Amino acid sequence: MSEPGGRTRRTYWEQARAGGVYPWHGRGWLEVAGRDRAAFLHAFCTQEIKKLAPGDIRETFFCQGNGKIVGHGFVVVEAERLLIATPREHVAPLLRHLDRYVIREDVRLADRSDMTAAALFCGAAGIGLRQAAEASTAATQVADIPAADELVKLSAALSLAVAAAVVVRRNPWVPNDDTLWVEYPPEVAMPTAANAAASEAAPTATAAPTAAMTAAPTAAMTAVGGQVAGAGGRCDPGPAAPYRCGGIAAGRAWRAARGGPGTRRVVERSVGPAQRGPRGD
Amino acid sequence: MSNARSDRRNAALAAIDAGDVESAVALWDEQTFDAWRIAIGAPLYGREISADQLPQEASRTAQAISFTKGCYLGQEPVARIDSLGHVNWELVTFQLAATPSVAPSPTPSVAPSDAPCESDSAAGQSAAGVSAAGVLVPGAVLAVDGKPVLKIATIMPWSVVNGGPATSPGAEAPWTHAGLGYVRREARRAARSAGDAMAEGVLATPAGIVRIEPRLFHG
Repeated sequence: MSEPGGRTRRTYWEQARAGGVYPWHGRGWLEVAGRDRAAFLHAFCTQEIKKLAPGDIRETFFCQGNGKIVGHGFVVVEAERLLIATPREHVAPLLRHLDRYVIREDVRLADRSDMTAAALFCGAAGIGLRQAAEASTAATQVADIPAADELVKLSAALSLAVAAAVVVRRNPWVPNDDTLWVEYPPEVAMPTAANAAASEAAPTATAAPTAAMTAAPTAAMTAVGGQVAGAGGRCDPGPAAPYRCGGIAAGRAWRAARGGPGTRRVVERSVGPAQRGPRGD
Repeated sequence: MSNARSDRRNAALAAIDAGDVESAVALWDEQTFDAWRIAIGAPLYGREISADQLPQEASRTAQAISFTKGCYLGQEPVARIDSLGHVNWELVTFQLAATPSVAPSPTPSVAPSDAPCESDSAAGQSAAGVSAAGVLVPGAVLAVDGKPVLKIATIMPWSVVNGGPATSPGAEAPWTHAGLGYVRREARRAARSAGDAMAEGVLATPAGIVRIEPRLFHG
């Protein structure tokens, strides 16, 4: 075989690249708040929490004294708190594990799993979403922008209203992947198979998005690489602004600029590898 | 050789460019999400990662473990492994061309949250890592010469992931399964030396041919 394994790579990746949205119902949030939150969490996980800045995301393990894993997730740094994304059913056990070590520290732990809903925009879906967001924020740099609104179409097709506060992050497992991790208000209808079927049955619904969907969806999506605008990463929808994006030209411009230093810098800052120093340090 | 991946991706992007988002975007179910996780080597706690493992065994060291931060709960064994030793098992993506006597699992299967893959024992399973019904299941342990070489954490029929057969290297047998599992260090080293340029290597077990890769997509 001229390309051993090549067939395998394509067939796996083919499906993911073709695009899809996964309603990530299983994502839970553990909130760590209080003045001593960073020092406290630093002492109970494998990641260097003290050096992180608001907007950073890091993968980490939580261990027992013998080194065995008691938790795994992604730490999201906000201005006033730390959030740990971990499977919903493991939030409570991890909370109990950490809570045993809170003695005099100013630390408050809470299960915030229902604070927002989550979805993963994978493959082409992630590209489409990013394209729309970046085109809208870089509108002044792209002269030839048709009056298309791909993000709204995308969201309407999935019954996902992005007009409200939406947080977009990179794929936490593989940051330079196309996948985007989207958090949106729980009151917004989550994308479900029923919704998708309904949108297929009634295509006019996608052609005529509601006013709420069209109102400034990406004013808060200025930093797709990490957290969104706002000191704490929590998104402030802000005042309504014209939302123009999409089109072939915008897509080409985005793809051309994708490998540029600016994009790369955002990636490195928002989701980077763990610090690693000389052995024995 | 046609590049089906690029063709399909470009078609999806063209559809988005043309405003036809619906045709480019599908709603994924749990099965597709698991197939995607298998493809990028993305473990979840309670599925592939459990309290049985050390952090380095999950193959997320570069992303998730700092060796410069100083003390934390569990730091001593983690640092000791890094500076003095190694872990015996590591999480990998694998593909399996099962022997005809081994039936593909009828549905995609992952370890339940309360019983992630066991480390050493595989109750109710033969040495080949197959259940009494002849179906590969999470927790199965594939062995070579009586020594365990691969512990299955998540496994899916290839047809679910791929939608059709794929050819295994150097053989006509199609892949029947794909998944995430823990491979024993010695077996991985032996497989690597015998493997081809694209994969970590190939293991021949009684349950079938196993192909090992850290992940299928190197972002």
